Amino acid sequence: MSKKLLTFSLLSLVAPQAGAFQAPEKLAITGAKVITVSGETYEKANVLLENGRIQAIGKDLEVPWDAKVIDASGKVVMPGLVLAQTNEGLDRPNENVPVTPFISVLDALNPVDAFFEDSLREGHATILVIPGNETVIGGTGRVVKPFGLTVESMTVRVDGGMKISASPRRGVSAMAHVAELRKAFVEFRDELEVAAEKKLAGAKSEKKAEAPKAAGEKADDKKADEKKPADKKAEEKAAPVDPLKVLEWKDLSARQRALFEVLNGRMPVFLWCERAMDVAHAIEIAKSQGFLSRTTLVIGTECWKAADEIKAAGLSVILPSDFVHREVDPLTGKERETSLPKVFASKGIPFALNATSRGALLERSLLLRGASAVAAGVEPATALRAITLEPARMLGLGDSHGSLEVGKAGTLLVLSGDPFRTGTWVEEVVIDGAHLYSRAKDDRLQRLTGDSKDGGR
Amino acid sequence: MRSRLRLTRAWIAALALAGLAVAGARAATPGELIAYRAAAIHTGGVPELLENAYLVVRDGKIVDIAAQAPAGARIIDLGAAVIVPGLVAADSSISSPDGEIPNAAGDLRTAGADLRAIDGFDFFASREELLAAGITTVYVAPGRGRLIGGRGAVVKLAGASRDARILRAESDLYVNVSAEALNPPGIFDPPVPPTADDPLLPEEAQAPRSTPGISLALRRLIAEAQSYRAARQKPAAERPPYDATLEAVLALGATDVRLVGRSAAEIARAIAVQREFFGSESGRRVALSGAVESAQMLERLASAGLPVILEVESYLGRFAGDLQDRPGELRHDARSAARLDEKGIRFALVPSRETRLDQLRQLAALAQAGGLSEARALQSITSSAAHILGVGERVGSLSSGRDADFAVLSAAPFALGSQVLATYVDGERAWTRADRGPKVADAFVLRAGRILDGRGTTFVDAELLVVDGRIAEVGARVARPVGCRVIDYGPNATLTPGFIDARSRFGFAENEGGTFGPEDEVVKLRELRPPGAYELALSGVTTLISSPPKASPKGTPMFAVKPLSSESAQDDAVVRELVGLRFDVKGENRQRALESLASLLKRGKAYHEAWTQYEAAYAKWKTESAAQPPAPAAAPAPEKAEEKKAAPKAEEKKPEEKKADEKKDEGKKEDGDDAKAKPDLLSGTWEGVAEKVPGYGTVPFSMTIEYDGSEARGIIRPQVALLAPILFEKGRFDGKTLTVSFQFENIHIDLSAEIANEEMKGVAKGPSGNEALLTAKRTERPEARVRSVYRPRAEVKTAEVEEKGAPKKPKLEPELECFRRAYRGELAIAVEAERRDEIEAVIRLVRVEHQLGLVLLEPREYGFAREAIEAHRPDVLLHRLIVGTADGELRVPSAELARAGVRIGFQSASSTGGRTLREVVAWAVQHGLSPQDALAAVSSWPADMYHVGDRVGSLRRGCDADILVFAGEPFALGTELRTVYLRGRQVEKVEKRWQ
Repeated sequence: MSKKLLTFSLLSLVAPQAGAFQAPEKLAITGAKVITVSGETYEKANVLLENGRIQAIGKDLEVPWDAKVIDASGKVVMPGLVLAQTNEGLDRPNENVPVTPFISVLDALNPVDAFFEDSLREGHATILVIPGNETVIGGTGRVVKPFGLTVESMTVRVDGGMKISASPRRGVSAMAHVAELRKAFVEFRDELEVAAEKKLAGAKSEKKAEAPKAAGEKADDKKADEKKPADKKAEEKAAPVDPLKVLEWKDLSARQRALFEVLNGRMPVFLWCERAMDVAHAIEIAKSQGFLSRTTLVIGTECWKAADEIKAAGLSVILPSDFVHREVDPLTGKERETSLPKVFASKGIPFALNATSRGALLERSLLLRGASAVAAGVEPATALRAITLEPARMLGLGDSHGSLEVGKAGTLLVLSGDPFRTGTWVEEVVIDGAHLYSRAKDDRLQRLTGDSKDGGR
Repeated sequence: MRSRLRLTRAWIAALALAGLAVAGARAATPGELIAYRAAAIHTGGVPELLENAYLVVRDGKIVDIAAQAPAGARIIDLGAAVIVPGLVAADSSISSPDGEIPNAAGDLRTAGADLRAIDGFDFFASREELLAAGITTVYVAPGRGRLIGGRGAVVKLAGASRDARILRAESDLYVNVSAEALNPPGIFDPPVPPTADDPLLPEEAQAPRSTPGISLALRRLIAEAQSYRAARQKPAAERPPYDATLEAVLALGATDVRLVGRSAAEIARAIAVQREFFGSESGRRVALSGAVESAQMLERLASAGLPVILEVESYLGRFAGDLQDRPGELRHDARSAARLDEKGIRFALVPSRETRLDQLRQLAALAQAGGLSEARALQSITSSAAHILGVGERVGSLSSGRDADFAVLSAAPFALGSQVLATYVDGERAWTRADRGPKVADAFVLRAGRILDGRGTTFVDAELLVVDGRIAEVGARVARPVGCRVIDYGPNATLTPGFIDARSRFGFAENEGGTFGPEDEVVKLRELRPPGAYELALSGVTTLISSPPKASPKGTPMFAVKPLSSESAQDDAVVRELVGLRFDVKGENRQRALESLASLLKRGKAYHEAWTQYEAAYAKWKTESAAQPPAPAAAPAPEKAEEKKAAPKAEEKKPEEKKADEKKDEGKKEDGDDAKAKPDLLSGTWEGVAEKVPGYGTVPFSMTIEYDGSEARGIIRPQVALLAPILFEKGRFDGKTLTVSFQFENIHIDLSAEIANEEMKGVAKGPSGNEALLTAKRTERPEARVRSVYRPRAEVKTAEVEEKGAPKKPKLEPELECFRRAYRGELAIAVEAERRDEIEAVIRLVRVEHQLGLVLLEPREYGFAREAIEAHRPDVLLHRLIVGTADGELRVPSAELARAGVRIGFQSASSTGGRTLREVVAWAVQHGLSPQDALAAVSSWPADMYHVGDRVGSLRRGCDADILVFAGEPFALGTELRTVYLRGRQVEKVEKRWQ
């Protein structure tokens, strides 16, 4: 087995470790400081994984004889980091057409994109890849792990979430953008109503099993015509048709299904707000369309100004990777800097930190983002949750990811030291019980840092 | 009638608005009753105006407007300020910048009825510019370039939350029948590249492209909407897709409508469109916006009954372009508003497209020039505007139950120079000039019944403007710089210049030890505020001609100083150093003294002439040598030699300095020689060199140290031109090592020096690690008193390299330097002479022979010397010669001399004795001195005698704002001196200082 892994790691020069891996039945990480995030932190404890899930955590746990062992003595074990949302790893973030709820990143996701290899190296073990912000309704995302050769093998959750933008696209005024967004939903509901009525009408006619009317019976036809709208109106008044209850997934065309899932309550929504003024529109849309409780705001730096509105709506937010808002006072010319994690932490609004491989060095790693948030005055425990459990909850994976608990996915990191200390490296990455990354075997990193034995050739 | 307020009130107002007063700064707490007291409250409704009333506010709503504050209310006194309703701008395009068409890829139909201006309004953007103009409510227009631009909104510019700020989210449908709408966008803006979902379609021209097209397009749109409505009733399968625009058109029946038309033709069209499509049944409000040429359409407008939102253009602060007189050019008419009013048409004023929105209040003022009444003008930007927008029950007027949105103005809304001081929205202060206004000069205006400028001019019912501590203007009506306060002292008050004590020894002890020569100069007053300084300032003495008590045969220096310096800049206590030289020729030594003065003046004159000749020769040589080609560059070696030559110049000073030091310590030095072995190893004078001083190299210096056993202080005097002496304090000495820090050329220096065997070796470290080495020997052991008050005066000359061939410079004689100034007419010669012969001799010598400015100090026998005095007009200072009798005759010397055309002044000859100056002079006035001369004698005359008339002594432009505020006639005994301004700052009463 280990030989096999070795050959794969050699292949990794061409592609990230190949997808055809198999998790060992049992894996034990021993002797580490274990940060569970949701519960206590153990010193010198063992974590046992079985069949990709956490079997036990604790001190003096017996390591089964047949378990593969990762000796993590003196090191730190924590849950795999959760990247709350990104549009990297895609062919391109957005389509030209503004309203595209029917598209999915499934068709654009590139498993061999260097982004995933980098993510694995940074310990970003669970990632929501979702369309970008230049859109009105952008399409659905997918929760993936940064390993695998096919999208299917990477997938953690298919219905990752719908991307909607409350901020105007380039060249469009806010007024027109919001009108378009509102219109998209009203038009879609109209489509659903039509479909529902069709379905009900179809069911009735099947039940009655009446023969189609003869062409000559004009009087009857007229009567029926007169009756029909009246009946319908009466019906509507008595029991207004709720297309969401009447319709099923299969009644709809492929174009309609994703948005139907959003209105139906099954799909999370990620709403992009670049400026503070967009927050009100986002909340209005989410409320009026009934998906407020499943909505997470993806915000720009200015949105800290709308923190009270966000709090009142009970929303959680995903911060931009560069989470400092800078503003120049037009009167004094003084620059004012506001650190968003501090604002949201003090208001008690759940937030997730975010990283991007397109940003500055400090913005590339969630661990460094967490450290920056701590430097900006956020409690370390809060910062830790903001890169693990909070984003996991936003992705609907709160029960399976984001913390080390018995029964949860065996997705964890072995760090060389405490998570927010400088000089701490991600040493090992285990996803669903499979040991997928080891810093010692990371050829590219070694070439970059000159650690490799062959002198970095 | 101008409101006349008491002084205290004006000041409380100024403080409250500056955000200093505790009461004004605190935000309202829930349920708290706050009463804003203002000189006038314009309600925008009925009654129009209440004077000296209270605006009572609770929880952001107006409770009452009353003449008395209700019990338990917190009172905020706004003093002379005026309250008006928060202004309402009935039109604006602050939602979409520049009023462009909101561009949407999806729908570019000419009717964008589904667009909402509120969606484009940024509630988080700064609205300070508009709040600063007193505007609190704004109509936000959607895009303007379509026939139906969308739905407008009415919002507040500040408030607790978004919801609280929205007055009407969808206030009216914006229907534009003006030329702006004649260029609708194409129907389709194809995305690049086109997709299967959105194929490329040919562009289809939309209506309206011409004026008749407007009605056509509307008709077509409404027909389309109606057929859409019918089609939507059909069964699901046949039903057309939902159309947001047509749905919005269908909802037209219930919405208010704003028709936009500017020219006369467009107004006619708008009226026609309104008749055809938007009848005012079902309580719908229809307003006409634009209406620039409404004056031509008055009858039709009146019969149509449409309220008008009138665009007014202004050219405040900008020039108009050339007149084109094109057909179709809009004709703005300043009388439009007045004529609409005459016809009984309700109207609001808004700025035209090119006019700034923050000029709203000024637009209403301009309309008054066209004949509109002041009350109507205010209503047109407050209550009328609010009613037209359908929010009149919430904002636009001040009455019980309305929102507490108001602006605080410095004067009546349309008065000259009236400024917005603060703007309140929902009872909360949204903007104040003090906190958020642009930085302006510290300016204030004083109003009084009389202003006596000290030079014989009296301004009645006049004003005086002070900017940055100086008088900027005096006159019947002065400028009102932005942000300036106006303090009205009422019709009885009199402003005069601050008084001058023409000779005192302020700042010097009565038994001052040393004798000071003309080469000494005031460096800084040792005591920031000598005892009695406040009392002196409060008594109205704002300038003192101070000189040390002990006379020097070389002339005792006289300095012009102020009693108080500001805490930050001590130098501002000095008006001018060395304004006069004092001599004494009275008493037994009069003959010697006169001779000495004569010879001194002679030497001084020769010195002055030598320098005058040199300067003329040098200037001549300079022009001549400039015409010649430059000499080849000198070799480095000679240059060095020249530098060495320059060094003796520094040495030239040295003997002087030593002399000065010797003089100071004359007495002590004698017993210092046989001093016993004192434990004090540090005190005394040290002389040595500092090496490797960055930028200067080797610098010889002398250092005077005073050590009291715990702390060492002193002066380091670098013996190099340009380098000022360095004062240091708080030096530590442990018996071996002296450690001290000081500032040298604004650089912090740490000096640490080993003291042993009367020798000092030390290192001075700068912040960048540069080090200079110091070695010195103690040359004077006795404890030298640190004279930080004075340092030897030496003309600071740049270490210029001597130019070859230039005329030779006369020898520099520091003690004669002052005479150059005297002969240039910049310095007064003040002489104490009592007897007739003394007086006459001095006049002959100084006035006749040398033709210098002469001030006679207390010339007791002035009466006998009258002939000489009247002939040669020396200036005279009086001390005891106020009122007396001689040979049974009442003598008032001041009156006599003033009548004879002699400039007089009064001298206290003590330190703070000048605080009774006014009483002394009042006594003379009681006995016949003209009040006008009396004022001149304590202000402009002494200022002119000492050549400081450009700085003090009169209320003229450019002079220091040293101003006295009297309750009435300045020298009447019963007149209170109410306030003293020193350099534009009010001198606080003593009791206030201790609070």
